[in-house]
Amino acid sequence: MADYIDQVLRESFDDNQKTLWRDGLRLIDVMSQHYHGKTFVNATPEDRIALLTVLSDHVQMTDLPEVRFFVELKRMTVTGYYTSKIGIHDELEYKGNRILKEYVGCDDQGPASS
Amino acid sequence: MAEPEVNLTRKYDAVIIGSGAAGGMAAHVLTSHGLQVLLLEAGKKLPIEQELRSMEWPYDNAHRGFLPPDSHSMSFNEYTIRNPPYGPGFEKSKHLHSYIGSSDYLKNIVVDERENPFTGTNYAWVRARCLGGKTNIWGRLALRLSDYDFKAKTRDGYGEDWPISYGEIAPYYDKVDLYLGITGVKENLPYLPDSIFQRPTKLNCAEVTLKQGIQKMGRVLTQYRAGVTSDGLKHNKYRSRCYGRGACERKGGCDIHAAFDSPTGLIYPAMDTGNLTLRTNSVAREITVDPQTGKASGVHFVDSQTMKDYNVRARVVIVAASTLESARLLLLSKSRLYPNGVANSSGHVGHNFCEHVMGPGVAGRAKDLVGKPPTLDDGRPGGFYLTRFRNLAEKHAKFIRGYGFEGGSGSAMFPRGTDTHGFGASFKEEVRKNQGAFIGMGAFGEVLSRYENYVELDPVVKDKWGIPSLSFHYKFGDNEHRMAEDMKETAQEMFEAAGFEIVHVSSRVLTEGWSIHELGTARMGNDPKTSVLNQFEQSHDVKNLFVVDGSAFVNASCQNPTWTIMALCWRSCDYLAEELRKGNL
Ligand SMILES: Cc1cc2nc3c(=O)[nH]c(=O)nc-3n(C[C@H](O)[C@H](O)[C@H](O)COP(=O)(O)OP(=O)(O)OC[C@H]3O[C@@H](n4cnc5c(N)ncnc54)[C@H](O)[C@@H]3O)c2cc1C
Ligand code: SF4
Repeated sequence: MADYIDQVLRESFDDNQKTLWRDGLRLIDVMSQHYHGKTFVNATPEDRIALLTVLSDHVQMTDLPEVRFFVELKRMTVTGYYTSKIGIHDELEYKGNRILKEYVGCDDQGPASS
Repeated sequence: MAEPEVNLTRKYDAVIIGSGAAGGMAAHVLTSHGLQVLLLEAGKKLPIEQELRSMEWPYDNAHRGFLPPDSHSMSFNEYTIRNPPYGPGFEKSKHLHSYIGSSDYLKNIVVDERENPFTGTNYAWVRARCLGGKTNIWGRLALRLSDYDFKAKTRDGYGEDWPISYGEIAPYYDKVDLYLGITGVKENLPYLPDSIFQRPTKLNCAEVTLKQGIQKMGRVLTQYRAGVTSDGLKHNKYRSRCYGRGACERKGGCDIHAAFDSPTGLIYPAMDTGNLTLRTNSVAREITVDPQTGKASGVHFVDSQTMKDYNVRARVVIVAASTLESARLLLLSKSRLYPNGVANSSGHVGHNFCEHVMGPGVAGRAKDLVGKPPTLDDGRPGGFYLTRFRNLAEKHAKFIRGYGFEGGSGSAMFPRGTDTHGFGASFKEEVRKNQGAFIGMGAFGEVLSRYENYVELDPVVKDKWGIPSLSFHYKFGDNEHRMAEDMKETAQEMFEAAGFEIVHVSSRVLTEGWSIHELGTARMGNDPKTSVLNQFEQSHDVKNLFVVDGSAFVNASCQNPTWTIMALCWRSCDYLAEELRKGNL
């Protein structure tokens, strides 16, 4: 995941996106110092989750750069994850993208409900 | 790369401009009548299978299937806050595409906005410049129109009737069905006539629940009517039958050509007759006219790579560059005889521009499917079509005409519902357990044809080849906005009737142009004062000039246009061949 995000940022021509990440990472550390007295990477896993939960619960407050950063981080993580081998095959057990003799519909199995 | 030399000194029976659905069909019909035809296409002949790579996994692609970083594709927000031409403000991107071009598989198919600018009002104009045009990536929903559309004025008093009725075009719809293949289920609906269907795709369980849920409201959900061959076509060696790989849903194209595209469906077979000459990289810039006879004499075009100019002569000129490009070409063809552009004595070229309004829709979950083991739901060319129900038997108080919904349900390679709250393990669990239960649909509604909605030539801005660009004067009106309100309400009401948990209801109307169904800029009609073409898509003014794409439409209806474009074109080209034989052109 980190590799995917690294690649996108490294190749990006978009300075706004790069600034958002730089500012975002810094603000997250400021927040972590404030709540837990440690930088984000040095905080305990529980403290880190607590901090991300605060951001996640306030995603509508897009005026704040740290919130915008969180939304962007989540978007890229989700994109990277569900386009990876692990995301597609192990996590979702995706069954398509192969040659089918015939698609099996609901009528073949009996309606799910009615 | 230089074009393989084609003979431009001889006079062809017919020259066709554009190789999409319309141009491909004209090439097929005219060559089968034994005519010697030259087909000019502005774009390249792409190695299309290598572009589409329908079965490539995202993790095997350098950018996970997205555009490379030097390219940008416009978002809804950007369309809202910027005005055309869209180039300024996106200087950091080497290439700029419309909203459709957001994937690595479309980057060479969809045009670069900078090379092809336009001005005026906002418009999400999606253009594909290559052999086959937009048919390489179309959504394949293949629907017929009916007399509810052709005779809409007789029913509600608005606009104009078409100069043809369903009975006259039905045999040509049949021909298109049989020649190209279409899947679907017979429903016997007077407002949405059946085609001659091959084996239908099936509905999955949430879709069946919706179908049953809305039956008591008198509403109809049917299998996606896809312009796809599910049984194969014995007469066509370029196209495979559908193998349910679902790729057309993900990225836009079918590299085994089970989904119709103009090159494999129409143009290659036409070349096999020996009667068709193809020249790609040929940008038509003017239809030339003989000042003595007033008839079209041929086409003036520029080679897109070498920038060299050419003229070619033909007995008949057929314009099929897609609705807006065809209007542009007619307007560009100014002469002493035709100072407002060729075929434009009515002043209607570029006007009565119409399409479909999109945006309102609903997403939900079939609760009984949540947490079930993963299923294969996208192994087919499409989900469902929920047919029109407004202004059929009863008149709606707030708007005229109608709309239908396209939708689908179930798991997909990239899961739906990733806007779920939270992060980490709990987020993944939510997405995983809901993936098969998701169902969603969005509406397509008729935008009324209005003289005030039009395109004209921009006096200043030109494209990369020095050809004047189009300027748009086009906005949705009150009828569209009132219809959009209703779309949102009925979408929600039907999901409630089916017992779905509603996740999101959208009332947002997308930018003009979003439907990619632009129509009506050279409409047909019986009166040469208020229409550009007659019922055979033949210019009222210039008898050997035909315009055979969506510009001929009199109204947009709410059905997707491509099957109708091709049926009309077939009918017109049969007439053309007969008139030419009789010496009337
Ligand atoms: C993503 C997407 C989804 C769609 N979904 C559906 C759907 O589900 N159902 C449906 O019915 N329709 C759908 N459409 C619309 C459908 O693709 C069009 O209706 C159809 O392709 C129109 O055919 P056409 O021949 O008029 O235009 P095109 O297919 O656009 O072909 C026009 C051709 O003319 C060429 N040309 C333009 N200008 C010139 C010039 N000056 N000189 C020479 N050549 C020129 C272009 O390069 C192009 O190749 C969709 C389109 C897209 C992009
Ligand atoms: S589902 Fe059928 S039509 Fe669509 S890409 Fe696969 S084979 Fe082609």
